[in-house]
Amino acid sequence: MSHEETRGTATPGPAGGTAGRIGVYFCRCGPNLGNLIRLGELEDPAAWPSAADVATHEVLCSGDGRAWLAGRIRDRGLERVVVAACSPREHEQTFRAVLAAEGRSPFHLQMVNLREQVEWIGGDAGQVTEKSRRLVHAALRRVALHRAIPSVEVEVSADVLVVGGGPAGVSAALALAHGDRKVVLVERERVLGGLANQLDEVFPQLECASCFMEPALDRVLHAPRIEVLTGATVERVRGAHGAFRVEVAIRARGVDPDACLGCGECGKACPAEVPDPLAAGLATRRAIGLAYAGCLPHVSAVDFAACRRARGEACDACLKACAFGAVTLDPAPRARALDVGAIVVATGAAPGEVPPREGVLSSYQLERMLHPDGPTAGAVRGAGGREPATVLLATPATEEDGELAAEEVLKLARLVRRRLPGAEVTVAGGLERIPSLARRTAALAREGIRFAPGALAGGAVEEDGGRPALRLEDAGGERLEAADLVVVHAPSRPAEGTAALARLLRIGTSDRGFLLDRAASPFEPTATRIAGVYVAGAAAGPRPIARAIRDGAAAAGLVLASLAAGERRPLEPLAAEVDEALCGGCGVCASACAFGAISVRAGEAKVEAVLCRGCGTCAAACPTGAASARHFTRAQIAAEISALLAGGA
Amino acid sequence: MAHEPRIVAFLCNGCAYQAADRAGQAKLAYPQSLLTVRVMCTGRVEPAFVLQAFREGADGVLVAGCHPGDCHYVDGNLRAAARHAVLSRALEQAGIEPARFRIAWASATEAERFAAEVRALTGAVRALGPLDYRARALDAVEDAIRLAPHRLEAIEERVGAPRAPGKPRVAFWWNASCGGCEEAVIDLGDAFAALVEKVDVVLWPVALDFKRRDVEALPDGGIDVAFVNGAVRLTEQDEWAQLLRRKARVLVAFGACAHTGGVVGLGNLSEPQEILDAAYRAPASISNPDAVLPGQRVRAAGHDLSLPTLLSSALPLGAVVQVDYTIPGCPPSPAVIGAAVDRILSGDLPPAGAVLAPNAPLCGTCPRRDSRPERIEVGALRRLATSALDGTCFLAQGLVCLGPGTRQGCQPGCVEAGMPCRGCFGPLDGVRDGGAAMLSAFASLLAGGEDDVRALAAALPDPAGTFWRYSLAAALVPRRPRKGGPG
Repeated sequence: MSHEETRGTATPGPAGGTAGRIGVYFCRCGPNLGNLIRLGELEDPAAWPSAADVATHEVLCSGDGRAWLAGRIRDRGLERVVVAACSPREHEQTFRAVLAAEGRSPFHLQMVNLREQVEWIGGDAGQVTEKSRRLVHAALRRVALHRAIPSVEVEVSADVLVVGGGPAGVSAALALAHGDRKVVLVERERVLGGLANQLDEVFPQLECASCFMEPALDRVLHAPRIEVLTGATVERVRGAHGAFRVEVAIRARGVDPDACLGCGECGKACPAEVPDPLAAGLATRRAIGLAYAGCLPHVSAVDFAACRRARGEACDACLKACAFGAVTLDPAPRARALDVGAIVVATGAAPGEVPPREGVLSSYQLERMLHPDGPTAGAVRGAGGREPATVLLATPATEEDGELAAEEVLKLARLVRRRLPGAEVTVAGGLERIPSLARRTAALAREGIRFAPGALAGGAVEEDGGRPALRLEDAGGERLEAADLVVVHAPSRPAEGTAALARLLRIGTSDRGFLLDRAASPFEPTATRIAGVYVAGAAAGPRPIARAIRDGAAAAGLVLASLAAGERRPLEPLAAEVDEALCGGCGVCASACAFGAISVRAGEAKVEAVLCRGCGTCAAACPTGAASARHFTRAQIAAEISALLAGGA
Repeated sequence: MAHEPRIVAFLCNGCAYQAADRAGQAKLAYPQSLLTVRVMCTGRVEPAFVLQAFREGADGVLVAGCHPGDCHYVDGNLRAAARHAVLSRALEQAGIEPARFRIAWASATEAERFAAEVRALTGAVRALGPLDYRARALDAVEDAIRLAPHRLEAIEERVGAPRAPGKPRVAFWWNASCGGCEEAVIDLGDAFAALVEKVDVVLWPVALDFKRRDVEALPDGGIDVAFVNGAVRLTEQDEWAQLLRRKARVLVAFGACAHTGGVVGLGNLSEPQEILDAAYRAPASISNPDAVLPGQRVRAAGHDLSLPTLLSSALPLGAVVQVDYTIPGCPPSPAVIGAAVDRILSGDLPPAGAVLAPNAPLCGTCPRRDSRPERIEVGALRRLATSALDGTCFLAQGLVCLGPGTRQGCQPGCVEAGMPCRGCFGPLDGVRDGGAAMLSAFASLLAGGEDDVRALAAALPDPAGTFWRYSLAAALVPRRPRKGGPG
């Protein structure tokens, strides 16, 4: 019955939580106020019997005006003030400071926006004056219910969570650590480097990927300010910029990383064979061992889904094989809670797949084949494991993957041409007609790479004379172009877990499922709609490695510029409260909170003030009145509504 | 000067309030119809605020915030959109045109868009005319009762006779109710036998033959406790309420209908004339050639007969007389009745006005409480009769369960029997409108983007009847405004 309790009582006694004398002050704002509104009618103290003082100043926000207001508060012993002037967005802080300087709570102020939202709209003077009267009346009723809110400061966290250890994440982590920030780098896989480190040579200069990735990964692993968690996923994110609380789940490695030297003896002894996730379906690996030779961190890990002992068999082959006692086979996952101020998401993309077929490879499968540590140790193989005499490469993904798709196909054509000097290498799909690629395709043509005329008709692999083929169309009609080996670069996909992470972080995704790096302005590249959350690299859509690295550095720069180490910020004064006596632990408030600031424990909702932003959504959702929003309480708003509508027509 | 509509506007601090400031700075001319309440986020706007505004004289209500995706608090505006979508359907059921309640998005820079929204809403409300809810709905109720001459007697101060010696004299009475509350008294079992031993029953029409004149013959204050169940729907029920109030030292509203109007209150979604037509004229099984309605005199068997007439709406008992205590529930549970009766008869009386059941929500004792996920998100609505359900929290499964906002006391009740709570025990102390509160709670759980939450809200069957199943007559907007305007 909150609104009925407060109706008709301008200054409730202590039961309403408040008491004290109230002043009502009008400002003429120089020539701005009072031309339309008949301030003369409103200034009459007889119109405001519940006010202890009513007066008008020419320019209340001026030094003279503020001193005048301070004097009236002091001399008349006022506890609360209504200022009928401009928008509170303009001068609420100004007049709060006057109250605070006089030893009153800065929250004992209510402003009436007579300038922007009444006078300047125009209209009939009588009607406008009547509306102004209602607004002042409502402010008087409301301010009587205001409560003092103590100011509390907390230190923000300047630490940063980087999700994803590919080129973008590594770039961000290194730049941040260089900027004296503590970084926690969370990587889903057991190894760092992402897709980039699984490639042999990268475009456009055919640089050796591991030559630039591995030194960077090594720096990440040895930087004292960077903590690396591999086999780890983000499970929960709460809070906001400056105060995120993140829960991370870490899969068991089954090997003590401090004792393991990465000799690989455990893998040689392991009898359990499983498909190698890095061999793109072309080879197998053991249930324990290194992900690949030279992987970083250079530590074995157990695939518990494949481990025979984990499945109940009496196997201790790896335990016996390890000379360092590093194998623990402890399957217990761990959880970590992190307090960070910002989050850089660099989870990358997953390579496009093509339906498995003899003599057909995805571009990623070919990349792995070309890698000296790959499933064929660098040899190119077509149907039946034979070296192909003809190789056809194409991509239907120039639209989706942009620069990446075309460059990838041209690079692979060049690498295959080198690896198989005797083979006929053909690129189909019209890349040579893309103006920005014309010079490069012409150079490749001079090297002996053939460009088949026509556009891809669909891009699905068909069959022609027992060999895989692609359908091409040009002015002359459609035809099939066949080869011993067909390589297709299909559109990249969001990395595993991207959708779940987007939900946790409340950032949007594109139609294809990539994270939206919708910056508030072009001057904040990688920023998302959530302050303090950045998206770098291919997590925001397919892009070349060089651009991913630049994204990581850009995100790091924005983090460094927006969060200072040791900075203190006031705790949200409007943070919600929950009256535990009325709380049934239904969880509606916690579900409505966008910041995860409320959790239900032991049947009662608890607000973590450091995570709360004070929007009041929980208070509106709570069905028992247990949750309330400071300075926007049910009683305050209800009193305001009643007063706005009270009396007259 | 034409009547300028009064529109209560809830503007969010992040966007819409700034847009309004910008409109002023740009000196855009737009109607002075807004009476603005600034909130940090539209997510703060409770449906109860909207209902309060209509009840207290607003012709329209505007909720304006940041565009979806731009909310300064991530998605408070989507919570507002969901509540708006459900509430505007309930308002339409209650006879308040959806055009009077608008939600709009305007970024801080969109001054012209903001002004255009105000123009559009003001124009729409102007075309509909003043709502004048109080005059058209609430006063209609007051008129119907105020004109009854017997009420003049009730205005006189009650002067109770000294309490008569001997056993407490107890009355049971039923107004507009189904008889379930009477059944609940019988269901006390052995406790009922003990109760009858302890008291003198002076009125109980369901069991004993007392007449109205017997009660009238009692001195004022001659009944120690009167338990009255049922809503007040007929003039005769109002008369009985007045009579028992005069005769009883303690008047107890017994059951959901007396407490908050109960299911009888859902009749307030129809005009009295529609109800009478449906009962006495339209049904094919009714033979009423002269189209006689209650209140009209009929000559039969040598007597002039008439039936009591309908009030313009159903009312909780507390709306026509002062109620000392309330025993909630449809029906009240044996445990709640037993405890309340013991308390009253022993003279261990709580402050007047108290509801005699625990002031705590049902979730606290729900057998499914441990299955509630950390975040409840309703991405699809389910229904009890047609959906495959498991033993977990009903809300988490997409069913409307009013347990979060409903008082305990029913146990074992619906949730123990595998049904979501329907709210018969009413809200907790201090919650003015439990239906509005639960509408807000449930709408706040709808998941997805703006289109998703609107689609879910549109698919929710009968929002007024769902959230105010037992409490419409006591709601902030408790009945349809009369057609054709006030007067």
